[in-house]
Amino acid sequence: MLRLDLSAFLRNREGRKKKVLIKIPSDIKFIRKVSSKILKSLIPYNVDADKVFDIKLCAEEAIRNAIVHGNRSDKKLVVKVTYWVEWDNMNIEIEDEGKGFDRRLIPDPTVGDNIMKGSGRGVYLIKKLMDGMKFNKAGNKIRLVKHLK
Amino acid sequence: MDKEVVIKSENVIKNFGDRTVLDGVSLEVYKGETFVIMGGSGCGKSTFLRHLTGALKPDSGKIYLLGKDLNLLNEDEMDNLKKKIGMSFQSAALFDSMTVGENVSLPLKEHTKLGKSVIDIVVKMKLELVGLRGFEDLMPSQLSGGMRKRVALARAITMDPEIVFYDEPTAGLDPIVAGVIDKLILDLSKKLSITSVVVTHDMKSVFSIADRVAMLYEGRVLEVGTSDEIRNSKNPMVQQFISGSPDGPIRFFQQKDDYLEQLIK
Amino acid sequence: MAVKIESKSGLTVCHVDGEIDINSSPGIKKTFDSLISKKTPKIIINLSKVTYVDSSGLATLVEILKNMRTYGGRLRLTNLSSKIKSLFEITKLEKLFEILADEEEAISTFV
Repeated sequence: MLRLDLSAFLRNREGRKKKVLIKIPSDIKFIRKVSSKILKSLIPYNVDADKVFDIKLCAEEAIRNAIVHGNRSDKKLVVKVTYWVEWDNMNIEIEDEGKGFDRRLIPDPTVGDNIMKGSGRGVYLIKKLMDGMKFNKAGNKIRLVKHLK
Repeated sequence: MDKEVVIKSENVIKNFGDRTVLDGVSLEVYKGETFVIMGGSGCGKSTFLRHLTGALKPDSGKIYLLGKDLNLLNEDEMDNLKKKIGMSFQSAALFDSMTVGENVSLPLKEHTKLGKSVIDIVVKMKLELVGLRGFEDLMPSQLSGGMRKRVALARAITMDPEIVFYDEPTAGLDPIVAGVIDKLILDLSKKLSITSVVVTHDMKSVFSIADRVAMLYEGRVLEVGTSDEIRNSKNPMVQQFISGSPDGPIRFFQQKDDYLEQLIK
Repeated sequence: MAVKIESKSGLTVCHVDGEIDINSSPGIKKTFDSLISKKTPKIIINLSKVTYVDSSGLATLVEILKNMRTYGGRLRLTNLSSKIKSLFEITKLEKLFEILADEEEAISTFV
């Protein structure tokens, strides 16, 4: 069940920008619903179509990783998605309940034999399509940043 | 201050049969400005606009759009250039059988393959910009004239163009609604940093939106200048047009032959 | 998501309609698995109606290519939108796949 939790209303330096927090069970069928909400929040910002596509793709990739890798698709575990716009930047934070991972261990999928591997491109795409990507120390929370102008 | 020229025409001449519609039009438009082309009916302004968008080719002279000579472009290059311009023409009306949202989405569907969810959001963004949030599912017949013009505007900016061409954007609208459209043209121009080229004979529009104005008469440029310069023009034809007076050097009573020619055309 | 398969000039041409992503990938893989099990020698996938590809979609295409190579089969992709083409370029997959602009060209030059 999709729970929309607006308890995280926060006002930061430049005014009344609210953070929206969504919690979902670790089931891939929720990915679209979340990305849809994120894209809807972009409407007032008149973002160009390519950027909208990039945000959709990267949000979905990151949420999927949280569900499948972070929470090992255990439907009882929750993925938290927080998003907000700050200084013309879209920020999306995705957190899973997993033990995290060492992101230095993610191989570059474009190098050598890796290119023939089926999987492993999600994080790489995020890094290339977003303006910023950061993991927390534990590796179970990722923040995506995309400049909207 | 260095001004970047985004549109340039050099001595454009166009004849339709025996009639010379454009008689050597040379103009420059700078990046980010709102450039208004005004003149009476038949002065050639709409024809000239169609040359700028590549719809018509001059009989002689050159046209440069974003640095490219329109005459030298192949189909692909022209297509690429077309993605950078938007048009809001009277003749390019909305499709009555499609919803507002479907109308606005057309350029995206034609030029990109970005998928329904992305296109839907972009359509909503554009409608929001023109003040028609939530109107996606209505049919054009359910809207007023002013609203339909705003939808056409939304469609013109769907691809985030660098230049938008407007042909008589306030035609047929009452003064208040016309004022809304004018303000929208200005707002969009500032917000989206676009260059606007507006063809109109609505004097109120001219002075409320123009950075610079060019007046055409019988296919020639009578005068070009800033809004103020034109307003204070010493050219009696310009003054006659501005004041809307039937008396003056601009001929109101045409020769019968001219009139018949135009009818045949 | 739908895959339409037809035979043209002795080649197998597939049209994928919709998205190639985490939801549709398993279904697409199944469709191609059956073509691969028959050792279909030359396959063209026309992506003109594909609007979205995510990393699992890319993974699926790579798997199809890999599996075809096990029996010497060849795969060509055509009619990629500029956005999807750029995804292939970013992940350097455009060097791995035979990518052509349109189906006709892919068919006529598939020797």
